[in-house]
Amino acid sequence: MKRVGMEGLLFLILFSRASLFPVYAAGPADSAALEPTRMFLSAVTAYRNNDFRTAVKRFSALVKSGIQNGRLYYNLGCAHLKNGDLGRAVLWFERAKRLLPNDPELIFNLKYARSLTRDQREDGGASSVRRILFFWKYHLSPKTIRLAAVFFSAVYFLLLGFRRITNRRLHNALSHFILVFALLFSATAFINHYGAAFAGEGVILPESISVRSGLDDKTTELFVLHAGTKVTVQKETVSRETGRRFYRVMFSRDKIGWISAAAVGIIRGTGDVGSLN
Amino acid sequence: MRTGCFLILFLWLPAAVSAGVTAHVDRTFVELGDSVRLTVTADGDGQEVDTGSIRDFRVISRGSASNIRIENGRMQKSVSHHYTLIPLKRGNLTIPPLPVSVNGEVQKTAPISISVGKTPEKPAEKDVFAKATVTDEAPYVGEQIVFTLRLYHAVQVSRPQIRRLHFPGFRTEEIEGNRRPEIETIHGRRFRVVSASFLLIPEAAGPHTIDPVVIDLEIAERENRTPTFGLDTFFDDPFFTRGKRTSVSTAPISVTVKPLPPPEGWKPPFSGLVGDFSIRSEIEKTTMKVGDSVTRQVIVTGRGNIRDAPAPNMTPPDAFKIYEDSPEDTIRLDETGYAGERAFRAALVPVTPGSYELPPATLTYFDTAAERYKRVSTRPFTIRVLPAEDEENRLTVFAPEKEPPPAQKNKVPFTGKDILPLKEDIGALTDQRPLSFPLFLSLLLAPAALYGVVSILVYRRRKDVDPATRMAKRSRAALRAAFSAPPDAFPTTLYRALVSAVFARSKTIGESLTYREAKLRLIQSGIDEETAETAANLLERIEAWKYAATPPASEAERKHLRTEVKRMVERLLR
Repeated sequence: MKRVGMEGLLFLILFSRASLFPVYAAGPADSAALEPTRMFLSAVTAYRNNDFRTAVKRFSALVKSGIQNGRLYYNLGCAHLKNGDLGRAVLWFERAKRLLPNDPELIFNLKYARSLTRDQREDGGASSVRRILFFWKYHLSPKTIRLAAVFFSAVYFLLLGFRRITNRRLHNALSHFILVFALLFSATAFINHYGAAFAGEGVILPESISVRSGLDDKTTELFVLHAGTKVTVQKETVSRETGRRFYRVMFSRDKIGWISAAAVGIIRGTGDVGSLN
Repeated sequence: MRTGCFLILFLWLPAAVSAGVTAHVDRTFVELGDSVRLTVTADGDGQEVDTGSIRDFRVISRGSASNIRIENGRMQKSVSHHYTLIPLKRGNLTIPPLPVSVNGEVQKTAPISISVGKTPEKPAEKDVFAKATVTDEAPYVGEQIVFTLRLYHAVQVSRPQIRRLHFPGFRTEEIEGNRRPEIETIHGRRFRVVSASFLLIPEAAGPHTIDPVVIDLEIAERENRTPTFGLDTFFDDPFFTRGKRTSVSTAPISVTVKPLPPPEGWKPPFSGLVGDFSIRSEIEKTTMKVGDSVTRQVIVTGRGNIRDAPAPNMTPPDAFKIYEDSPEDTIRLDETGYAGERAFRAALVPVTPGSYELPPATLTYFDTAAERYKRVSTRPFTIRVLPAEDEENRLTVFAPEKEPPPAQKNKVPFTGKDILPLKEDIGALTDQRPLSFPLFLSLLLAPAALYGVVSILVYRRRKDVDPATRMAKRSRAALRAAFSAPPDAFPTTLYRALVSAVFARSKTIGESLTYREAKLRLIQSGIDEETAETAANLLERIEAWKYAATPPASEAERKHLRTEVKRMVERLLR
């Protein structure tokens, strides 16, 4: 018994140790790494074969696997558009634009998709002014802005440190110049990060949706929005009666109302509908 | 007669100072009781003027002056004899011809009439007047005429201003000619004449009137003054005389412009040139090979509106390519108007061999002298064009085609609607998520933190270098050492502690001090005198103990002294 116990113990140890080192199934060691590539290529092939539904499915799977890439989002937008889903096409194009703000093909396709939306954009003046004054926010990706902020901050403090060590005057025109850029990019990075949390932008997904005065379908319909229309999502709430999530959206200064969260794709997110948080 | 002084005068003085004798007066009208200045000028040496024949005037000699001028490389001398003539009666008096003996030869001046006591009637009796003339009062349309304005003044004038100069119906251009004033003698009176000329080209037929030209000027008022040997002109300068503002004007001039006769039937048609013209043609060579270039010139020469000369027809045979050049002008504007030539050049390049005749260039113009149209032409040229040496290398010459008219630009419309294709490169799978916010914050603040550390290190290092800090440290270290120092080293450590504290207070570095120096330093560094005195006494005691043959060894004494030093050090380092 004791021997069996000892042998059993040895077996258990061996087995447990063996189980700590699982053996892979037969196949190339990097087959898992090739999966996204295969998926991507099959999505492209499906698109070329006009099987847009399959292309949507496969590109979506890649996105859900956690890849954040502007080109991938662009492809998903193209697939949705070809598949007849204007709302999601615009949503994914807008998401791609955050990562590739100056891509000419993306700009062209997004403009084309917007031309298919039914709702005429209002209140363009303010955002136009903002776009001019803070042009770098709209022309550089969030990653680029963060890197730029880090870069200028590093250069600034490096310069200060060098002057401190060599006992020179700390500030001059050059240091002020770099400081301005460091502050600008840092502030923009903070705005990008926190601003979206308080007022995200979204895209209407269904063909048409009623924007209402309250959180259920019995409340007054204020206006109707259609697929691909961009809105500002101001607030999120949950209906106590139904437990459904609703967004308060602003289409223009005088057009604000409540809409089901399922009808809006938040641009900042990566899910199909996303969340404000 | 006074002896004249030797002067060299500028040439504004007379052109009338020429060979022979001349006599002139400053005016030909005078009131009874007034005077006239007579000047008799003669070339040469050894002169004598006989004024004995002057009966109507009282003659007063004012001396003479010699003038020397250089003419054609030769020195010419003339002598001017000045007289003041006072009329003896009213009426038309005469200064008779005066005999002047020059080197034994007698010559006579011209007689001069003087009106005494009457208003001036003739221009010569006025001091200043103006005249205007045109070269032709009946020109043809396009024919150039010259308008000349002359201002005559026998007295000094200044600040002349033309008030009105207007030529309606004419194209006008000022002729920049010789502006040197001239001298003209009118009825025995010498006038300086300043003139200005203008080229007028009538633009339309019919009667035209050139309005009187008004000139405002200032006339120097004459003062009775003894002539001073030729220096009159100097003292006649307006700077030295008063001026009277006045105006003179010309008479209006009527010009009747004749129309050109109808130029019908002329081939080539009338070119628009009016005047006198000729035309000639030149060519570099008359024998050439295919592809060679030769320049043909057609030159229009003449007087008239040459600047309006159009390019004559120089079209060569079809076997030639022609490249025309811009015309070249050699045209001047002189006292009679425009004259010169205009050359038209063209490069001719033959493209096929053969013998060709270049037709003559012709020109039809209106001859104002003959009062009819005339046609002039060049001679024709016969050109022999030989084949090029190498047929295969025959130069193919293309005349530059006329540029097509610019295409009308239209907005580019969309003819179809679709999206651009997928991005198929595998780079679409690279994760592009931005820096996580915590990582971003860390990277952003890391340089600031590093800078803070560096600043602190630098500050501390500098503080260590500070003399006061160093000496304070040394003082405290010595004080600590005093606790465990052996008896023979005890005073040394206390001395070191106190002296270091004094140096720290005075922010200097040192090793030793006398107690007097210590007191002085402490007072200078702001310590009150009593404390400084105490510190100095303490130092003195330590020194005495240090250098004593047998220093006190009692522990209590050492402790007491150490406590005193410690308190003093703390006081000084506070």
